[in-house]
Amino acid sequence: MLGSLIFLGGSAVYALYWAASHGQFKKMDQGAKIIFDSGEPVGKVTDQFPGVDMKKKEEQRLAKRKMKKA
Amino acid sequence: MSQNLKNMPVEANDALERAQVDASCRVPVLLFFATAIFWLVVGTVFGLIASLKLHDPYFIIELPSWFAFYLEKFSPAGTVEMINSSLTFGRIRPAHLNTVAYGWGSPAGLGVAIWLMARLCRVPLRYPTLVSAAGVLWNIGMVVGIGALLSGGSTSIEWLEFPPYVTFILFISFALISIWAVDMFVHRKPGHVYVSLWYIMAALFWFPWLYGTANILIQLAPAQGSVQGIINWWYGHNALGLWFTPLGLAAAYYMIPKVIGRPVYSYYLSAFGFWALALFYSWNGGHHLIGGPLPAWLITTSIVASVMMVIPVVVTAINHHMTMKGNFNVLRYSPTLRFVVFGAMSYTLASLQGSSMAFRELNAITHFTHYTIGHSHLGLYAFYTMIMFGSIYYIVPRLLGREWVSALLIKVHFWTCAYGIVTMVLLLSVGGAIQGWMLQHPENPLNKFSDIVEATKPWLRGRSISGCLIMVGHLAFAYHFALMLLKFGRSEGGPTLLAQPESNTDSAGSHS
Amino acid sequence: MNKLTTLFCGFLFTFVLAWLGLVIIPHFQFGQLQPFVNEDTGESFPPFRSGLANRGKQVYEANGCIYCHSQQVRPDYLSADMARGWGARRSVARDYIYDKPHLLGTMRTGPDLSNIGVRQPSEAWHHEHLYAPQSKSIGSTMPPFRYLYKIQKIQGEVSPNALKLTAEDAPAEGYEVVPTAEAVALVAYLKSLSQNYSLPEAKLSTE
Repeated sequence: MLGSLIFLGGSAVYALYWAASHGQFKKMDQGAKIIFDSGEPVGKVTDQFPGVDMKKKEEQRLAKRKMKKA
Repeated sequence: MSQNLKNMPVEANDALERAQVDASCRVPVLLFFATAIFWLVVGTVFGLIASLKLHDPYFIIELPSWFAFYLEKFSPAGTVEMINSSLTFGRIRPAHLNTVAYGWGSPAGLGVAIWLMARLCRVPLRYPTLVSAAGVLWNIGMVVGIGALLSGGSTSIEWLEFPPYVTFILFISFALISIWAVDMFVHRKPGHVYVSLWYIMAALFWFPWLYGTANILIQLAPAQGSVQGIINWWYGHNALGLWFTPLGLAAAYYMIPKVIGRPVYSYYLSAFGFWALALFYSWNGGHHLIGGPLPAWLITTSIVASVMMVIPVVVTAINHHMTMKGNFNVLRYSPTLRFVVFGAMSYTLASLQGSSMAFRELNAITHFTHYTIGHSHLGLYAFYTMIMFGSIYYIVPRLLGREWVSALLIKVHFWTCAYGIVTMVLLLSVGGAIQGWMLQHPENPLNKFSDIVEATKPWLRGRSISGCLIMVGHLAFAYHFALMLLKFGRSEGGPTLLAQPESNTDSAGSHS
Repeated sequence: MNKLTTLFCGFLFTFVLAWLGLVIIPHFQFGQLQPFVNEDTGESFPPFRSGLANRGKQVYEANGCIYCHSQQVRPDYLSADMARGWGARRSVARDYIYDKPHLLGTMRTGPDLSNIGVRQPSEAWHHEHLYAPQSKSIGSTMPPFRYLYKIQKIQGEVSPNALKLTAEDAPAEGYEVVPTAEAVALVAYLKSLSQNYSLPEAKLSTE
């Protein structure tokens, strides 16, 4: 039990150390944005139910909320 | 950019590139999806029949006598016996498993993977015809394989029941597909390699090793007895952990941020989670054989690795949750997000449950029971299959240039399958726990084996009902997909998500 | 993380480690076991199966028996398998050296069968149970394996191997149910299933 813990845990720690020292973790957060482009930028929802006007529905929902609060 | 037409705005250029990439993989990806959805329906039928037989052993055990009488006259001798024998639980059950794993799960994953690779490498798929041919070959392998299973040719090795000549066909088909996927990666546009690509490339690399080794050392050059056991479950667990899980996570890591329009919360966590999964998951296999005829060091190592899996699982869960935070309202409006988030949450649950089941004390009760079956459905269905559904809902409109026909059909699909699988897992877990507890306490005179069988029956009947619910969802999905292929998809109507570059100028002003 | 080579090395390293640990090392550590030979009697354990029993093992495989039945007795510090009478000792690797493929199983919808040859040596019982499980085991959910049997007209006298069935399982008047060659082989296999011998690494609890 102890043997396998040391072995597996140790390899994990070593691998992390190796990666860090070989610059694998530089500029990571840029990578997350690569799935967006100018046509489908950050902030744009890209999926909705067919035939449903999402913008309108969301506006209606927020309007209802405002009315409830008032 | 490959076609930078100077007069077009940048948005149109990007949209054009996306459209070109989508067009290049249209035929093979749709072929894989059609394959997957066809076998999904077939596999669900097998599953339902198997489920009914578990509590009703006389359910369709043979052809009706009047039919058999006439069939005997007009067919070769032994036809009736062959059909009757193909109906037994012991053949229907592996037919279910192999159909859903290799007929639905793998083609769905391959279709999603090819599209994701094309999009993320931002290059078109070269030689799509070859990939389509591989898809046809895969189907041939499936038909021959299921036919072999039903007619008594199973190898009787769980997850590897197809005879060697069928695994050979599937292997060739797989090789053809992965070569072109890797080709896209090699020719990718410069820039960062997205997390989904790591998972896909890893899965494409690991699967042939798994499939090849297992088939060679169990079928062709068999290892001795219990060594086959550990190789069997090294393969079986890694088919889940190093093939299906990476494909599912690859899809989730793309779909969630892409649909809500926010990048993944912590990219560092993604990298850490990926490598932790790669390191630990592959050691889990022995936890299927706790108490079995194997050395203690082997079993213990697998238990430790199964518990270490908590690390990548929790890391992934944090990442997905923090990405979704503040955007849960999008679940109202996006079919893809519903399925994918359901799947991602199920991944966390299934994995944590799995880690708990590796402890010897709990395993003593759950091993050999329906609890394990509940767990496997939580993983392969609630996690993997739901994510694949969501991905297919996202990808198909982009390949066909048309939106899905009916929001109602999508909602029927989602709710029947969501309720269906939750019910199924709960019923099997409770029923299995009861079964296991009774098995472990034979000192109680009320725990004779026949009592255990009676105790599980109501839970199994409930499971059949949940299976019917899931069947409805799958039929709705298959019908809807067929409508799309037959060009019934919507091409306009409202602010469609597939607006052409020209009409994008409306929203162009609204983004940062 | 951006080069194919780095990624590839990572995939390879993580995979090969476990491949070595779970596949290759076991193959060498307990994949070349020899049978145990009793020096006094010359008997070899585990015993060889007869040709008929081996045929029966193929019938077991072709009909998916593993999906309801296991063939491994867990130790008594971990389970009640032995208390349930499924074996006088735990199963060990050497019990399976002749099994190609292994039939360890993962479900106990039905009982464990490692020692069924010891618990139930009656051929007639097995045939009747395979043909109509509920007649032998009330409430059983085991499927009836009718296609392993033939219903034939009685020629003169009832065949010696005809099944003794009652009530709704019995065939029509003047007919009898006899086992096919596959059923005979399968029962021979079931009767051969026994781990009721001591090995140096695992002694029977009855000794």
